[in-house]
Amino acid sequence: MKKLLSLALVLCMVLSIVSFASAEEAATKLTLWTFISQHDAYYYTLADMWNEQNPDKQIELECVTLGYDEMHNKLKVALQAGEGAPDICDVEVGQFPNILAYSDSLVPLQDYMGDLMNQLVESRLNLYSKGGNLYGIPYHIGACVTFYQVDLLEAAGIDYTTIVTWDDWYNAGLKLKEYDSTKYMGNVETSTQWQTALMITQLGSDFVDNSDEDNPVATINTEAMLKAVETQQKWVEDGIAVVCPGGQVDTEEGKAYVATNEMASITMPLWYMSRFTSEIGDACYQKYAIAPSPVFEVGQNQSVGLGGTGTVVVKDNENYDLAAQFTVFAKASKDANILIWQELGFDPCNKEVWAMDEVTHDPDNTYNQYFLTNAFDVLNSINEIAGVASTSISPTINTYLDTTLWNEVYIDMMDPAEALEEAQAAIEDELF
Amino acid sequence: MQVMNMIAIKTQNKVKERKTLFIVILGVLLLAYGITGLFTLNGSGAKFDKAYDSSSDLSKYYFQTLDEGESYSLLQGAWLFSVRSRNIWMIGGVLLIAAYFVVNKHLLYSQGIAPYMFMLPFILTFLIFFLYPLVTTIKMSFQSITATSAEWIGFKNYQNLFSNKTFYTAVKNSVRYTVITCALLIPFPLLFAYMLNSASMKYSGLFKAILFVPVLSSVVVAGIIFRMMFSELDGAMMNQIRGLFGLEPIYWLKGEWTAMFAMVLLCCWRWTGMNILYYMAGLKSIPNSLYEAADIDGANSVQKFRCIAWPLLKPTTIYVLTISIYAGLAMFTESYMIFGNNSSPKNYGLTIVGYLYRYGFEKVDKFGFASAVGLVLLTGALLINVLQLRITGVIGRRKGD
Repeated sequence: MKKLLSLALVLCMVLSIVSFASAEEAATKLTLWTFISQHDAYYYTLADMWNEQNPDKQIELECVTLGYDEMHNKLKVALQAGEGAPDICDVEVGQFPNILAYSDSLVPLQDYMGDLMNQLVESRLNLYSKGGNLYGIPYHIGACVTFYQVDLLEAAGIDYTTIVTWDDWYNAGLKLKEYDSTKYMGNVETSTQWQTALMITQLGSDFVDNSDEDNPVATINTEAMLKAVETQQKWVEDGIAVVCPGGQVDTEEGKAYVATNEMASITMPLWYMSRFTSEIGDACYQKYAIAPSPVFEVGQNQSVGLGGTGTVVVKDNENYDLAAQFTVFAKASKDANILIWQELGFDPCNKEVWAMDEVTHDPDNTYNQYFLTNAFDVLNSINEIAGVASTSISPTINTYLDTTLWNEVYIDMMDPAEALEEAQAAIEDELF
Repeated sequence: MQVMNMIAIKTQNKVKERKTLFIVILGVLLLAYGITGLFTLNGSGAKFDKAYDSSSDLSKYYFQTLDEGESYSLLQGAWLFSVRSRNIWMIGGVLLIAAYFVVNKHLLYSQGIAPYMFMLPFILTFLIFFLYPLVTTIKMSFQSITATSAEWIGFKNYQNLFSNKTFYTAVKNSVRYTVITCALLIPFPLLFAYMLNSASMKYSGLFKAILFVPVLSSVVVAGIIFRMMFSELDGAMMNQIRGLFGLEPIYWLKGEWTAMFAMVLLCCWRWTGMNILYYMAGLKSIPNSLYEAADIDGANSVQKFRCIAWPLLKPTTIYVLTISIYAGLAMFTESYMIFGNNSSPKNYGLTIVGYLYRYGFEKVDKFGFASAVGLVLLTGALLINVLQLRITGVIGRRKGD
């Protein structure tokens, strides 16, 4: 009896091992790290699509969501050590220069892209390239737009469609103050620089001069910066703009503040739509219209591509070839770009999608229902979407601006010119 | 007869030991060989292995760099092979040493070796997880470590460190935090423990539980809750408390002292209970007879505290002070959680460890610099504590006693 039992047990074990082995053979396991939980579901959908279309190259995708800092730091350490990195990883654009330092360990993706190279917006691909190689594939353009709270503005007698310049915007703010002094026209950011980036690109400048790719130079004490900072400081002084709680609208506190509807306008990249629908929710439903952002002078670029996430493939791992094929499929193909809009609410990099009316004007789409105007109408009407450079010194510059400079000029109300000189010196001091 | 037997066995064992001695010598040599290989690596071992296997450029991952066109000699090639197979040598060495003890089982039961066997888990943990990283850190602090290579640069990391203004901000914050927490976390827990310990205290069990519960909470969860409490929104708890006194809401985490207040409050909330526990244990060990004697002499409770409890609690106080200094200087998580990340407004929440983290993990190519920061912190904390322990008389001054 005992023998029989043990025999049965052995048989069971052998069978289970065999069944596991056969399952392994069928699908290649790929690990993916991301720092935004919504991206999981998106990748799983695409993995299913890939498995349907490629019966001979089945994959078994495992997505791991980690915190922003945690994920990027872990990835850096893994790349430094040469082991422990995932097959595929989402990397935020601000962190991308850090990861590009490890380009030896990343797969150049242009060979896998083929024709898709020409279909995606070039300036976005440049962000994730180094030495002629493409190392990351973007989700979106992140075109900066302005969300206007129509009810409130109309009640104050303001027609948001007539706002063209920042002066118009400021005057509208004064009018709004007369109507209700507790409301604000907009906000200034102290822990990031979406709005400032838009302004300085309109004035033809950037935070960094990378005309020499190997030796980028910080350009903080520029005329453009001075004008952008002075403009925003005046807003704060005159009570037109509030210093955003939480440092910017894309933080817990910031989103809670947006939900109070105390701001008449928010200038943010288009991906902020998804924060409205998934996190801010009913409080702002059908209240905001999307419109091109103001400019200093007519003719300047109305938008700039900000933020973003590039997906990289790690070469240290065995299955990098398949991982790269899947990544290109999941991020660059037209199907994927349609899904990027439908599922994630991002403005996809594949411009062909912008013209597909059945996709962009789908009345069942959550984003189309949530806002009073259509995002793609705005995108198609914008004269130019500029870009900001992302270089090896950008993380250092951003750290200083986000921790010190904005607090000095918008909270301590320090003289802008003086603060910018100090910032320039401090950043150069940090770049040893 | 039995005695004769034992002597015979002992002689047999001695012979066996001598005969198998070569095994342990070989084992130690192999282990040393493997460890030397480990230390001749520069940077990542995994990358070295990969480069070796694909016979590409090794000089980036090896201490000996090559000039253009130069190649490794035959002897160096043999050494590189041994570096590649360092794990085999190390495992082999350990196995041989183990084999020696298996053969000479009696040694494990001898009085000379058994104690070391019991200490082995600690010794191994210490060597692998403390000493090895420490030695590597010292090595790295003299190097510039980039994504692909490690280069010796002498004292440049230290020069950069001492000329960097942000470093002094971090030191200032850490020292300030340490001083404040030490000043609060010793007298108050002592007072509370004394009160809880006294017989006239009612519901002392309940109070003990309430004061101790925060110790068990996770600093991450507590940090997030404190961040919400100190939020700048009007509805945040601390701003509402200000409202009760008719004060305007403020940006708690954007002011130098209010931010420090938030961090210190979190620390005190969490650690008061723990320190009370230490003091309770200290108080319990004071014999009752001393108090009774004092009663007979007519001492009041203040005198009893000053002349009995305080002097006899000195060892506890020194212990609490030592760990508080260390914990204060090494603080990081509290600041990280309260500010939501490692960058706080104007670096008001930046600590030395936060500074280390910024360079070691948030930036690239700065592992060497971060190692230097770590060593400076270690040296500083050691110096302060040694000084403190000398002043309080725990170390030194033994001869005169």
